[in-house]
Amino acid sequence: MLSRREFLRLSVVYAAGVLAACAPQVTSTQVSPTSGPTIVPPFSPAPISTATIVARAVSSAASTFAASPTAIAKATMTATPVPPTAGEPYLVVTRGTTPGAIVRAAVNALGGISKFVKPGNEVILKPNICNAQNTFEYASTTNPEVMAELVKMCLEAGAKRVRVMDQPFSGTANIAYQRSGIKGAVEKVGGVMEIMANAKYVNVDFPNGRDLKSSKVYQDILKADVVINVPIAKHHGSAQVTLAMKAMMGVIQDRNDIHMALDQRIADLNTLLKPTLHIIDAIRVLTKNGPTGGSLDYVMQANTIIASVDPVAADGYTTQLFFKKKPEQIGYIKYGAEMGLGRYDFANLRIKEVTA
Amino acid sequence: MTSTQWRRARQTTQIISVVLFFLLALLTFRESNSLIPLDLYFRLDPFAAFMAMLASRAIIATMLFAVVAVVFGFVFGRAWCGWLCPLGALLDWVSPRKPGRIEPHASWRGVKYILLIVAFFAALLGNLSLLILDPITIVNRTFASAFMPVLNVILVAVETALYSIVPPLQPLFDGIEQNFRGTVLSAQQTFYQLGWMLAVSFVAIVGMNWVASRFWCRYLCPLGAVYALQAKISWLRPRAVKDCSHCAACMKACPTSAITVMKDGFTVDPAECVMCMDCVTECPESVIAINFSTADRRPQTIDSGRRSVVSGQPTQFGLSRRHFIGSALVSVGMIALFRSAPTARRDDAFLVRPPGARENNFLDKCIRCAECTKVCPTGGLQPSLFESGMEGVWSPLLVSRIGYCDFSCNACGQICPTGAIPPLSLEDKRKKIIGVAYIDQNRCIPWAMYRPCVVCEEMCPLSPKAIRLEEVDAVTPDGNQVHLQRPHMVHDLCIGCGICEYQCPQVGPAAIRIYVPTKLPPIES
Repeated sequence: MLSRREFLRLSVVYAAGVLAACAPQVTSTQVSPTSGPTIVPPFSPAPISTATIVARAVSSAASTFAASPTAIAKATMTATPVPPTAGEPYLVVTRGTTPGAIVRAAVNALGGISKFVKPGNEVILKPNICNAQNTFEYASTTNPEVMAELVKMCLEAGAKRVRVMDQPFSGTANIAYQRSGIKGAVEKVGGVMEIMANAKYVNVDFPNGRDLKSSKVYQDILKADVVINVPIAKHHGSAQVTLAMKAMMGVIQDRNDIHMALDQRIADLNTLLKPTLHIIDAIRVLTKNGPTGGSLDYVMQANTIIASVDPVAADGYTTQLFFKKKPEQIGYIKYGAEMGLGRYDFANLRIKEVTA
Repeated sequence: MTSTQWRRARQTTQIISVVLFFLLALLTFRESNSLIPLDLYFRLDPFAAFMAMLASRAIIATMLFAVVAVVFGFVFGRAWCGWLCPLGALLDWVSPRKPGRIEPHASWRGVKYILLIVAFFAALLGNLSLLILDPITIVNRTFASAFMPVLNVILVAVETALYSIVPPLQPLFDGIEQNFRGTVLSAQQTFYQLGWMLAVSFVAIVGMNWVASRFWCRYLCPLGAVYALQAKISWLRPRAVKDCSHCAACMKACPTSAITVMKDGFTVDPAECVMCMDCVTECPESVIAINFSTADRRPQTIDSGRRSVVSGQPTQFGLSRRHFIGSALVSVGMIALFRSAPTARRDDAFLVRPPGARENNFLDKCIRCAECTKVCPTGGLQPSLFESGMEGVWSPLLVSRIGYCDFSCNACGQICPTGAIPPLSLEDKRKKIIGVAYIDQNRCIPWAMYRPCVVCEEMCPLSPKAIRLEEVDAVTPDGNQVHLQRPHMVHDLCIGCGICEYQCPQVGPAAIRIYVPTKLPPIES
């Protein structure tokens, strides 16, 4: 049994620890702006004492129970887009017969995988696995062969680990991963499927967002060296089309908020969430009843990949090509261009078309 | 085997049984492959099995296995209660060191028989409401709707708190999340509106141990009553094998107070003896043994020193004709009372049942076991309170605001032990209409608040979707021009899966809600 003095001493120590832990926790990975990708070592905090850990854990747990997320003040994404150098195309459009060959040709046309992935990199590929109800022929989820080929290419470039992840809005992740065929295809070539755990979302500010000011983002997306966004080209009721920019919704936890001002908030998401590369899967295009689809009648076999580091350009080009609309007719594409996230004046851009 | 060895054996068997029960419960997830049937304990439960078959007037093939349990009861008496029952084991483990002083009168032991007979007559009339008192369903419901959600809250809180600040724990947390989500752990946190009630009632059942040990087993358990009736004529029972010194050690040791020591001997009520063998272990002179004997079946009086056991004492409960008829009348009265509730005339507006259940005379097969609740990947299936009247308490209903019926899933029908929710192929399940969505234009964001939304249309899994979008140019009350998309229901296509209601971003009740299905003829044009 504790004496009164002991008890008081311990209480003061732990109270001090808890107070110290209540100070805002800043976790930021500063990336110096360069023209090429920097290899950032994996995030490792400085050693801290057990008492601080306990105190922080208690206060974190308490605040989690109280459902108020610990704020991360200035987070940035480790991965950065790798813009084209002189002579390289701004956007590529590849066509062919096998999905693997088509996507490989697209990455090669942009400069090759080694331009984007360096040896030892932590790579995350973010496909569209938005539901568990359809197999890949129904074009509501990204093509599994495209994903497998990208995993292979990243491993060929020396990536330490290639993870594939998305959070479906309908159905559970483990079932969706299987039903889309992506889990089978990716694991066969050495990729790792990751379920996006609720505990790993962190609150992030979007300082350049016009409307959206903060959201909870999956922390590994912020920490990975390379993030490649691999959406599938689909019709969408309210957004009209869902392509690269909209696909960034897959890495945030609360999606209800976004729908309140969908077009502006999609653009706002893209002010912070800037993956290394966008590769739009148009092997099959969902032309109607998107984003869920559900009938082969809605699917158009197009055998095309559109790739660029610029999501506005990629989305704009795909919209023109397959959905019979002008880029500026899509709200978030227009806002994206206005906010300097990209451009769709294709006449002034180097577009390369390749047949695989 | 010595008596201590028997006690060890029993305690080990109890542990194995509880571990097995919880293992099977943890393995009860969608698309689970288990060699041992996941509903094993229900198959071995004669109360659940035979009442369900009686009420539905059908043989449930998988549950015929309960015949084995019946044979077991005639041979071993209430050994299930003492050796195998998971609730019994939990009650043994969570009990006070000193048993309570208040001991209800022995005639209260009759309550469990009354409950059994009322349940029997109710089943005869097609009603399974008293299945909520089955101990296996009690533990399973508590596990599914109280224990697992609580476990997940704690787990996620610990992970969230420690993930970034204790890196060495990351592989452990990652391992848990990657390997168990969507299987042993629910994919997302599950929420149960009545979880607290199930937790409280479970705690109450355990808490009654402080009044008298194994209170539930003695006075209330209808499954115990089934075995008790069999135990009255069972083969194996406690017997005296030599003269007794009336030290009453056995009486003090007996958890169900089945032994009464008198000045000229002792009696054991075999219907109350759960075969725990504590009396055998505690007796300093090894007077008692539990053995098979063809003798000592009928009630006998005892003389001092004679080795015999009397069964059927005046203070013990014996079923009389009056009890039987009285219970039958109570049963009829109870069911008639249920059928005079408003829900008997008209369904509660939101009584959405699992796919195929409504057409299947659901309530005369549902044993309120909560297996479907456990397996539902979105946590949409909830134990009901009064939505289907008193009659349907604890039967499942889909609360779309909490969880939708996943278009890729047919797990509930696959898991239901009695087939109350029929096992349907995914294709057939997608065609079952469980409800219809109605849009409340007074609350829907594009309709009432002139802002874009239509998440409902986005989420609708049907092809073509049951929600159509109308492009409108509207004028807000302040006179501003807005261009909007507004949702319209195509009710004839809607199956009532509820993902629209689940995702609707409006606060409070959703602006699109799933109601019980309305069957209407096609529109006459």
